[in-house]
Amino acid sequence: MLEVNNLTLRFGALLANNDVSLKVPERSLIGLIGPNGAGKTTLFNCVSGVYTPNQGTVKLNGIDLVGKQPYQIHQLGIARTYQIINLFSDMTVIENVLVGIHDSLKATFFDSMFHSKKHQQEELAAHDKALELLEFVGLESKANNRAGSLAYGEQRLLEIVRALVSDPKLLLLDEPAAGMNSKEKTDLDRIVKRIMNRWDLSILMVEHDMDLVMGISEYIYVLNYGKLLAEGTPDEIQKNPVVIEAYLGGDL
Amino acid sequence: MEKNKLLQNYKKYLVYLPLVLLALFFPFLLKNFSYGLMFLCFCEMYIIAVNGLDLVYGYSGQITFATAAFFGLGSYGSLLLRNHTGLPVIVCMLLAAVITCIIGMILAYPVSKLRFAFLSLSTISFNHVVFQLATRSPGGITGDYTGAFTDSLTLFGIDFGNYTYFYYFGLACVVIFVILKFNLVRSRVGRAFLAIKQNTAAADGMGINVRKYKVYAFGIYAFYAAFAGTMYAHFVGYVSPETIAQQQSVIFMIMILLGGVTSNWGPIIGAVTVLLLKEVLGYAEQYQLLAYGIILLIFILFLPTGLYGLGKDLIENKKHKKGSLSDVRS
Repeated sequence: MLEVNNLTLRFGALLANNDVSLKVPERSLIGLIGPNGAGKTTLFNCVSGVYTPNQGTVKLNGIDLVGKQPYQIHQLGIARTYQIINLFSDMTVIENVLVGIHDSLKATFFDSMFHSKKHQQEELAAHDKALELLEFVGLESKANNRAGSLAYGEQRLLEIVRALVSDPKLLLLDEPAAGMNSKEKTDLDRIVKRIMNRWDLSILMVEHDMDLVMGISEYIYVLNYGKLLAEGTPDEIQKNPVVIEAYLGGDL
Repeated sequence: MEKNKLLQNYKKYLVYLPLVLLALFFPFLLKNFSYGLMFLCFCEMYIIAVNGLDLVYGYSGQITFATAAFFGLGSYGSLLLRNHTGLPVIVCMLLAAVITCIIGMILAYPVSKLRFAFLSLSTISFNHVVFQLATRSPGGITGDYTGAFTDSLTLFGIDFGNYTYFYYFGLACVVIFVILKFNLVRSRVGRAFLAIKQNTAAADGMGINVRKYKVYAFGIYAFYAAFAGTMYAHFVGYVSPETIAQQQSVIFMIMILLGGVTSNWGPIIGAVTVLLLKEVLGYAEQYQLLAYGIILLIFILFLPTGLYGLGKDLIENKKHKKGSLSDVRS
């Protein structure tokens, strides 16, 4: 479904991504790992339109994504979360989710202004959907709290809900477990599995927590210094000497 | 359940009933004080313009100092349309507001790419362009520095040059404009505005076409300000370049900051308070700007949510204290 081919992105002399190719098939959960600064988030930013790669192609079901704006890519069905929490912190929890649903709502400007029937029905349906998804991750009791007032782990879950609510074809999770305690991590693991069961989507996940990423990924890509270092199933990756060296340092 | 909710909603609005009654009875209360009634008519215009400013600045976070320019475009536009085409005044008013709305959107298209100081600087220069146009108009059609006269509003044979009538016309306009804004900010458009203000990158990532919504926000803002301007033109019957001066734009900004952004009451409180201050400080005109400067500084530093936010906090604190006491008792 998502195909990245020979993607290269330079920041001046620095090669942030160097000739990276990867594939995310339908209904799969793909992991993307690598040491800090390996270019994982940069790759996400290329896929979601924040950066335009210097070379290479990014395609979603055959549609070229290079050069499209982030909002257009979102409308094509790729939703993401952020490594550094990027919520609308002064809006309420449910408003955050409703922003995520923005482009599937059809009410026009004048519908909104004159509070038309169409607009009202759509808003009610959107509210129900948002609430249901918040219930799915256990945040429904905090729907009217300020998003910025949530605990760290809850903010991460809210980011996932905000991305999920638009019914994406591909969900990009950028370190969803960062800063979570072990209980929250177990919950996250369960939630990701339930997402895979319930929605017809694929997930591409950057994660540093090896237990989590090895436990749920079907296939894993390893990046190092912007280059693809290895790929394979979790078992293959764990045994791969090159990967072990990159993580632990060579010559031990 | 649904019905209960509806009832609750009505109850919520019932609180405003005394206020509405008061607003309706003002002309009777001020029967022998026509200056007071005229003051209220001005308040109505400014409330509409400041509501527009709240949409563009308070909700979508674009700092603009061109309110007076749009206000002026509205008043001069309506005046020129009326004096040169002779169309009914109300038609001229709406036409002028729509044209200004389009001008606002055209301005916003390039300007929406800018941020912070650059955005405000470009709006300031736009304000100057309009000012220069009004004072050095081709063929002197705007009356240049002396200004120009026009007719008062007549609708269904009623002459709204009368303060009492105009007050009711203005009140209806205020109610309509405030309700439209209220609807808008609760919709997907309003959420998009807020999202853009709080986190532009994330808004973009969530599928919001940031530029389009910034242009929208500017368009409505221009429409609100311009309509207020057309009211001014046909209420006073005379427009001078003073209305477009840069200082006027600053005063609009003070109104919204003083009253409180992103609220329904903020613009109303702000507009009325500043106009009252202007009346009070009228005797010491040379110190007016100084006073505004100090007020602005105090509000930006200590009361970023304005008078409305202050009042709300006070009420909520009181409730909270009461609530916690009863919790302890039970």
